[in-house]
Amino acid sequence: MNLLAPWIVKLGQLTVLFYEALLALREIHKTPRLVLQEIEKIGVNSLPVVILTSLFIGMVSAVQTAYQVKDFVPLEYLGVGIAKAVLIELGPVITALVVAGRSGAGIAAEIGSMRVTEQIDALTVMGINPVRYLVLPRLIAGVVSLPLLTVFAEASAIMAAAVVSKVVLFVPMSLYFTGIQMFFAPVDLWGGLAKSVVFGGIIALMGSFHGYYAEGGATGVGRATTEAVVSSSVLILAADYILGTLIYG
Amino acid sequence: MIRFEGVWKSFEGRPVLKGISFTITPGEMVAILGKSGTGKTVTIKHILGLLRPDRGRVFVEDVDVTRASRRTLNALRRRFGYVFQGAALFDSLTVYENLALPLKERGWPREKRDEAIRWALEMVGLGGTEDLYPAEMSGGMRKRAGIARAIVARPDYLIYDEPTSGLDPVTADRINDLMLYLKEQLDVTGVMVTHDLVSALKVADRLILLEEGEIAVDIPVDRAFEESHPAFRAFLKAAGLLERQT
Repeated sequence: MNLLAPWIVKLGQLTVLFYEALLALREIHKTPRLVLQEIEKIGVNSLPVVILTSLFIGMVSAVQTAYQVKDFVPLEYLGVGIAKAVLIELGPVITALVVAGRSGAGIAAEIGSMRVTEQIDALTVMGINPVRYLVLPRLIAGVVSLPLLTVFAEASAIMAAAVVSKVVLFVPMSLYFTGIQMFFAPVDLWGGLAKSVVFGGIIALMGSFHGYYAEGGATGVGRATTEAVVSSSVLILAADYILGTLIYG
Repeated sequence: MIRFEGVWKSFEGRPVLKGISFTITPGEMVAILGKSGTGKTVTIKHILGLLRPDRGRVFVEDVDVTRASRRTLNALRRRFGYVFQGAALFDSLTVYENLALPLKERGWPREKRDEAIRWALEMVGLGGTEDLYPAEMSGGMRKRAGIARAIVARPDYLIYDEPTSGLDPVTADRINDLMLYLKEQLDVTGVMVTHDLVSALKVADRLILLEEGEIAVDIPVDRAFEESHPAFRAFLKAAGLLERQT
């Protein structure tokens, strides 16, 4: 029971923080500038690394898919396999993991250092709700940014795979895209994007949570950063399984 | 008026405050003294509900802070200025933006905000630093900017947490003069937490010494040198004030 107690406390704190963030939505009109700033930090600034990662994911997908199916399936269908994998799974998950490493850590470090230098207490004594000022803008930015980043990631991966298919595997681009069009199901796209909305919320919430409750100076901030990345990565994969089952199961 | 009634507080089973009671009357400046870890900062954090006691009550005027709703607490907090030990300025904001934040929250119009910020910065001798970021300022300047942020909305109460810690003696003395000046100019009720007895003797009207989570001494400042409590004598001695007096 003693081993479970800290986990129960953390779960309680996380629930309260999320609930308070939802309550703070009533005062969202006071923080539009902060939301835009966070969208820039989480979304716009993550775009280069997300695109770069997605290019390689697309390229390796083409090579791997061809290697696995070439004896059973004509390579004309290569685009279908790659597109479905990218839209349903790789695009949302890889984007979320990259953003968790980049922005989730940044959120935890920023809020954590504000906690240990009493800046969060300073907000409180000014009568400013720190959850509304710090957590809510990041939560909204996460939920808004992740689907947009995922669209860029998916487009980049599919294009990179198309180039590799043509140059390395000699599959004409027209054939590659015709295959994608023939077997495209809207649920592939919206299902993946729906998952990315949840992933964005997880990244922002876990980063905020670990930063908000950081303690113990610089060491505590470092620990909060690590825990934010690890916990959001695990939760992203767990949520991916649950949502995948619900949407495609 | 601020009143503590039998306040107890423990952290992880370790008692920090053991039933302390005291009252700060309007217009009074009280210094809470004590060695590190005796619960000085914990005490003042109870005044604004940043910490809640395990037992006992804290009143500000007729508001029971320990049971007040969030709305009541927020309204109360806006009547306070709080100077944090490390200033707690927001790194990503300029001095102007740091001071403007509490005023924006109160819905002050731009013109009134600008006037208040100019006044507060002049009061602490930081006129012309509006565009600086905290990282571009010295420790003493940051402390003064923290004081400016605390007074910018003309509070009824001022709380100072270790206002002179980490400063060189000359800067510390400037901060003491500034606190004295603000006390006279603003006529606020104040609490300062410090282990700097020289600062307390200069600024406060009353001294409270915390020892092992209890109030060991509670005296007017003009009786400081008559006090015989060993812990208080040790403070006087450590500050070099006993020799100076003899």
